Amino acid sequence: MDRVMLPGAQHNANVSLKLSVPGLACTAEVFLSADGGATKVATSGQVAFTATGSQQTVICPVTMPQVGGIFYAYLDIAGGGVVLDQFADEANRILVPVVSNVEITW
Amino acid sequence: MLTFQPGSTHIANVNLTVMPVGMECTAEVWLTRDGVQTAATSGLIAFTSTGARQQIQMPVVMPALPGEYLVYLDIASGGSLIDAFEASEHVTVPGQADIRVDAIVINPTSIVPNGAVNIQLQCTNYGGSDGERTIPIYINGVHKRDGIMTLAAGKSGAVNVAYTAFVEGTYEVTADNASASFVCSVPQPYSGTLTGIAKRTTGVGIAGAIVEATNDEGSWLGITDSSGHYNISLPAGTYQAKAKAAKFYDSSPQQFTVAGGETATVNFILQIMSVNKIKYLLAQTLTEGGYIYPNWQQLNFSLGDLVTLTLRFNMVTAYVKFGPMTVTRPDGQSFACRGGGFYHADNEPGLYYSQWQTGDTGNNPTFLTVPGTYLVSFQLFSSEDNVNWAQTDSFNIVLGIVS
Repeated sequence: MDRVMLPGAQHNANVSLKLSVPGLACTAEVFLSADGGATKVATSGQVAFTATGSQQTVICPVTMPQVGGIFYAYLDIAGGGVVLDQFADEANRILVPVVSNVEITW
Repeated sequence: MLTFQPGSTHIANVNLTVMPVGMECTAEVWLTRDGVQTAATSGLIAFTSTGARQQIQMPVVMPALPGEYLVYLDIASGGSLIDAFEASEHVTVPGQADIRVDAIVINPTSIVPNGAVNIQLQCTNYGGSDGERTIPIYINGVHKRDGIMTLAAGKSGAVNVAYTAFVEGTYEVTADNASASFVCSVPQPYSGTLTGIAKRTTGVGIAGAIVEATNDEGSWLGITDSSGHYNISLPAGTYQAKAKAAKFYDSSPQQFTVAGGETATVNFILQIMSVNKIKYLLAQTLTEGGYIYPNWQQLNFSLGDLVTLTLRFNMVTAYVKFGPMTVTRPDGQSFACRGGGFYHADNEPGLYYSQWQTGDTGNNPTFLTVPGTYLVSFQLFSSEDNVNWAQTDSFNIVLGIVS
């Protein structure tokens, strides 16, 4: 499902997950990339959370890039300085439209 | 500044680049005076972004309300507004057309039943926009026709509408505050006739007499034929008629009335002019020079007579003589008269007379052979010493009219 998000707009990525080690200090990062995750055009940064051992939600605010394009969301989960897992939401596209060179003539 | 007529449709050509490619978007161009209230809009025009510069055509119907409008462009996708722009160029919608009738001109203004008139509405567009107006035309207060007038702002023009009137009457034409009228009526027929005869007192008809019938609308003439009869066709009405002919006195006017299709009869009896017993008592005193005091004696003459002209005068102390006396007939021919001549007083004042006779020797025993007015003329000379003669006066005397 495509979602249109305006450039510069901030949207919260609600990451719902279950980490099996309760009490583990972790971080989550949601970022947008158009090239498979190699280049981050926008990121939530490292959002810290503590694993509860059960299903929990981590909110990752992301400011949309100023450059228009079609992006995918990626999620990295780290704990103890180690990347625990990576996810790619390639089923849903994030469309960041940019309108430029506008001219109206009659 | 763009100026568009109210209600007119114009295409806003929107050129833009939308990234990313393939987005289903909508564009809306809308006009507003306050940035909030939409006065006119293209509506949502769907397009798919190409990622490159593309053009979207947005038809906008201009608002009816005159004013200056801001032009906004909204780009949306997926129900969300992507971006909004305000055009640097505003749109001005001038005031609406205001076409009014200034005057009505009808031609002709008088017709017969079933006749047509041309009703011309002279109009001016007092508004700020070009426009067209269907102008109701009322005939005697009833809406009968429409005049469709198209005028540019500030311009004047006319529209013509034909109208046929079927019955007699006066028709008042109104449109807006202008009005004019025309009349539909049956014309008066030229069917009336005046007839009659002009004749002498003896009952004999007079040929060539002129009969004239007059009223306020004009004058109609007729001439009698060889038997003295005449006929004049003239409009129904009331007239004064009189007859006249050469050598006759004019008749007294007679009033008559003739109706359409009918005949009135007026006869005339003309009195012939006669001079048989006309008498002239000519008396004249000359004062110039103070010497001669002629007294004209009564002159009696009649047609065919030999006329004697006698001049009586008083001689005082001068010598006097008379120049030749001539008589001029009505046909312009002049003849010398016998008589007159030279007289002198020799310092013996007294009453003298001189006589002339019309007619000369030979083939002209008399001059009174042509009907008409005769003129007698001669000169009078005087002298103190019987040597230095000077013309004292000249005379032109009308003898009379001879019939």
